[in-house]
Amino acid sequence: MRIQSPLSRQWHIILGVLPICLAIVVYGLVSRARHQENPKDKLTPGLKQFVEGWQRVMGRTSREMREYTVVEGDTIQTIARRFGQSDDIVAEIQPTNGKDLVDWDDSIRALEVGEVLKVPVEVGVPFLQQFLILDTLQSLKRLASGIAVGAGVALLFGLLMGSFTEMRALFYTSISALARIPPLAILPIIFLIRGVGEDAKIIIIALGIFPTMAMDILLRVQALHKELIIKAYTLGASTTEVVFKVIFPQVMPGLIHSIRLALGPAWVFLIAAEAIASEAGLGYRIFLVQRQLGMNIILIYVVWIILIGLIMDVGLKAILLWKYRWAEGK
Amino acid sequence: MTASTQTDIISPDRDDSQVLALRCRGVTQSYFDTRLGRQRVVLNGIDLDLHPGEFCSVIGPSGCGKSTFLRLILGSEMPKDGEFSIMGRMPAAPNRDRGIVYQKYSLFPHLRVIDNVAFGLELEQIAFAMKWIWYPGYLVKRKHFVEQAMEFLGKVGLAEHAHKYPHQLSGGQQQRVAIAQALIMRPQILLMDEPFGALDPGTREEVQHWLLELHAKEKNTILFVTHDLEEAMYLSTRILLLSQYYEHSPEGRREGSRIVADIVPRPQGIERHHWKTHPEFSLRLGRLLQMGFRSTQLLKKSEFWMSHQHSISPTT
Repeated sequence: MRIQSPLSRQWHIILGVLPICLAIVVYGLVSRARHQENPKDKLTPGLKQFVEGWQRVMGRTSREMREYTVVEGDTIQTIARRFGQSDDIVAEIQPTNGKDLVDWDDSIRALEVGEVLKVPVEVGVPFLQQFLILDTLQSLKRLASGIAVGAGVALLFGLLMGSFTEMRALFYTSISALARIPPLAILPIIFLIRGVGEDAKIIIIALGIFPTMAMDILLRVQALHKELIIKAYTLGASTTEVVFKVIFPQVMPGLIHSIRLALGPAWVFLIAAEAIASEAGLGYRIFLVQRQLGMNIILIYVVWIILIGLIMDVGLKAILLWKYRWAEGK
Repeated sequence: MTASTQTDIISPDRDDSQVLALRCRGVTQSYFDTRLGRQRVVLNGIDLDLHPGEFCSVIGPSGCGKSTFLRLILGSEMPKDGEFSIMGRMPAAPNRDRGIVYQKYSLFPHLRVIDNVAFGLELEQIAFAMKWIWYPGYLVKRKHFVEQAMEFLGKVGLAEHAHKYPHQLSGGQQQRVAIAQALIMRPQILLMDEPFGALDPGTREEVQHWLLELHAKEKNTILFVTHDLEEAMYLSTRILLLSQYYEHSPEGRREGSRIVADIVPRPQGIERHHWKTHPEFSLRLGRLLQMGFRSTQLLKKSEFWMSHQHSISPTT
């Protein structure tokens, strides 16, 4: 092996996938050994438990009450059949007129035409209400809002500080002080002030990523060649135009790089905030099932988060190549 | 040389100052030198009159302040003393009076070639942010100035590269675009800071030839900083030599560059385009490189130490 010798594409892929395959094989062996010892082991779920977990998080069906108006000739049996249920749902059918269906001696009273019954039905859960989808959408909404707010504010401050020394003098110290605060330490403050609602989670993500991003953008503005700024002035640009037409567009690819790096911390703050207070979300679910030793579900969620993270990264890279070809030098 | 001849060359034609492309009087610049612990003078009283249409090269040993002089004219730095005017006006911060072409980083990397050239026109004709609110006149105006920019790109021979990004062009092409970008705004004076310094010899010659043709057609006033005597001799109608090497004087070491020579490199009667191949060219160049400037060409001969090894063979 020579230093930085070239490598073919096939080898790149093979070597890249190798550690992942190795990890899966090792996990499989450990899981099998533990299951031979204790078939009910929950800490290293096997394939079967993963399938169960998957069915649970995708939440195939649930029970729901439907209203039904009795017509001429209906019996409990015909109604049950009409809803695709067996006869024994009779105990669950609820009349709405206050007269019990089943008497004390287990006999069933006659139905009255026109009376309204509530009948339980098995329904497929509407797509969006499935655990995984619901959690993902909730989490992504928070993550995207948090990053949008954080990156927007960082861009504003970074541009201002990079362009104007007065602004830099004004904000630099405060922002670097802010960068020293571990965001999770002030999570309670935010919860106390803003309550435990959505905006608290968005604020914690935004606050967590904003200082480092602002500093990053400041550095990127300062790294721009001074020649270009003077050149823009000699072509008749005003200061506003220099900021918006010369500095801003050249910092944009840097902002996207910066967002790629900020995704990691943003996930940390998201999961932490969700674990503490929320009703749905990837972090919420992981911490919820932890109490039931639901290792299979936790692992499914972890793999899912890895996938989402990879997709985001690839997406941002694609934006760079598509919109900012000039910055990549391709 | 007598003092009277000196004043002939640099004498201010005072009634003429309105039409002088550039007029400098006693321009002085100094910086604080942390090693010396005091101000160090870089330029010491530069006097210069530049007429419209002149192609003036500034040469001199390293550290003589050629680029500093250019930055002062450009307005990105303020002189410590002295004053200058461009077409009779006192300039301040960089503005449209002066165009600039740097050795590198003259082009906006995020804009295509055509948009780079049209940048100034767009700033001039489209009010800020109008582009985004899509007011109806935008496309019409844009079409107009893009046409103008295309015409200019045609002049520099790069019309077919209009939709590339700067990094996709070669170094020589980039410099040509940079020159077009500056010239399209018709500046009073075009400043060039070693514009061809980063080009390989072949390309360099090509672009030099092209610049000569352009200057012959457009008659721009150009102030051209270079470290290459041959380039200066070939291109310019006038060469200024700056030097900081003073003859040792009893009152101690003097500081700051001054203009020590102001020559016309090309004799009357030789066509500009045949100049470089003319035998007189290599003769003069060789003489300058080996023996330095003749005493008749020197303005302040007595003050300067012209036998100093770096005094006229500027290498960097």
